Amino acid sequence: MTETPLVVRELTKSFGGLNVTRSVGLDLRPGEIHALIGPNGAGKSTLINLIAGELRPDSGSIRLDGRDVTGLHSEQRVRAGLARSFQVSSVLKDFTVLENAVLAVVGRRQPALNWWRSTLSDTQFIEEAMAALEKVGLVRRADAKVSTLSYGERRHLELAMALALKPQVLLLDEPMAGVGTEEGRELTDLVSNLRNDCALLLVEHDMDVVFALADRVSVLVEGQLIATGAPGDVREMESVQKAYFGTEDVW
Amino acid sequence: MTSPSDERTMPASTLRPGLPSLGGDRAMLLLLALFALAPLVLEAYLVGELTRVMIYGMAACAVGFAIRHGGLVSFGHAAFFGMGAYCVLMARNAGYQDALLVWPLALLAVALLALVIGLLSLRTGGVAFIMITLGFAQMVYFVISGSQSLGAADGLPLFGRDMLAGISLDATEAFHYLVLVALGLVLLVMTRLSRSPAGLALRGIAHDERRMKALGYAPKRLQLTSFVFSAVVAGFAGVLAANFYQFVGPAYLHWLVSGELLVMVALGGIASLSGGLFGALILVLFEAVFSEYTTYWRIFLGPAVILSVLYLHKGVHPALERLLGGRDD
Repeated sequence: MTETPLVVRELTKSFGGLNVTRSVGLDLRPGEIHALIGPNGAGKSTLINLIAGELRPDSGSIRLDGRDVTGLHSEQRVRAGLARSFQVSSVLKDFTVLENAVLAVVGRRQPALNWWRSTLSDTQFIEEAMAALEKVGLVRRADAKVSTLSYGERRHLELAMALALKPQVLLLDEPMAGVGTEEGRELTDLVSNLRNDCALLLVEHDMDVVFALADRVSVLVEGQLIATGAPGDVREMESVQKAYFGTEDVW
Repeated sequence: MTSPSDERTMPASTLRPGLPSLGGDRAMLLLLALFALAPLVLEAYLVGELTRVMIYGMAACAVGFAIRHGGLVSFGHAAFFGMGAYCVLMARNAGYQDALLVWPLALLAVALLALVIGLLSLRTGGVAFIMITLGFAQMVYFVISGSQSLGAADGLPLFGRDMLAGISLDATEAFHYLVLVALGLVLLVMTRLSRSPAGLALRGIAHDERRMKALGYAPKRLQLTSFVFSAVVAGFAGVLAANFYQFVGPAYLHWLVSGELLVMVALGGIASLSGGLFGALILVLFEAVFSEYTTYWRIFLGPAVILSVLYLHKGVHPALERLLGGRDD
């Protein structure tokens, strides 16, 4: 992997008069965990949705492994190697864990979809899906309906599905949201290991998690990136402290 | 990364597929067996009633398929049902009575109609999709019921059924068994499709379209295929209905048919592949029993639907399946 996995340049988006993304530029290096932080309403989710292709930017470009994907639909971007997880865990609840993972495996191979052969008789699908489940420790729950899973397990499955897509770039939208401390620690280790598989852009509110995981941090405030750098450096920047923690009076 | 090569880590579902299969649907197999035995024990009138159950059941299963596989609630399947029937009439008017020629052409015509309606309707979703399919079906209704050569508002009789490779289908039993074979084939194909990767993807799309896009799926194309398949099956049921009644009229195209098919699906169980069949059985039975007392027999149907929703939750088919000791998913 010599190309920079993800290059975002001068990305701009406004809803009516509200400029939610203002000329954002961002790089993901190979094997890097890059955290995107910022106060509520800074436009983090919008930025993720723009990169994932669920929203169209007004201007700017997004390059994936050197290829311009700005004009592609979200599902085309997934097939090009750009996967995402969701803030609200949205794995399909009436399906089994294995079926969910298989869906991700099959999704990557689109559009060569088979209408006739049985999905679960295809050992290659099953093996790939099981490999993804193994990475997150869900193998023994493969046959369980998702609706019987704990919230933490669902977050694990969410990660397994993203991994089954074999992405070069993975957008993680608050992967720890709503899980307990113990499970949060487990997930942190898990995400840390994902480094070997792909470059990660991580949106996270928990600063302990961010500083434990991130190789670099970008700070988004009112739609603008005000700083990018190593976690320690960014923490010390006055502009970041001001924007993120408010003025000293608050403390 | 280690690959799960040892057997302990492989889930049981690879050996025993967890998705619904024809063999696993005990209630349906029992019902099909009853259909097969009926001509041996029942009088012709009752056999005919069961033929009707199979025909409407096939159409209802088609409606249910599109709901389960793609989340497409169509309120316009009467158009496809009626189109199938009117194709038989048009062929007859042109002097063709050979099922092996007429029926495939009829299904092709239905597929083309569904392709056009589907392409336009799929630009919407949810409630708008329900309304736009109804709108298209009403257009088909008014165009055909205004056509003099097709019998206009009165419809036209067929005088005898189509011939299947030289064999007459006019006998009640012969036609009953033909419909049974057709229904069995349709259910087999549906089972097969629902277990395929595309079928699985379509089930996912019915649950959460956005999620499926994030897994790399393009929902619209898959949904269109599911819609056209569902329409063709409904059209096949229409072809059979025209032959059963030996009459074709605008009632086939009326929105009441679309509505009744949806009621059948809801009664039988939306989640079940064969749910529509059980809904059709109940509806036809209600009509047969209560229409002897009153023309307003549907007044008994309402409470039945309410009771089914209240106490059976998922519909009649899953309840029966539980009773027979099978799985109810």
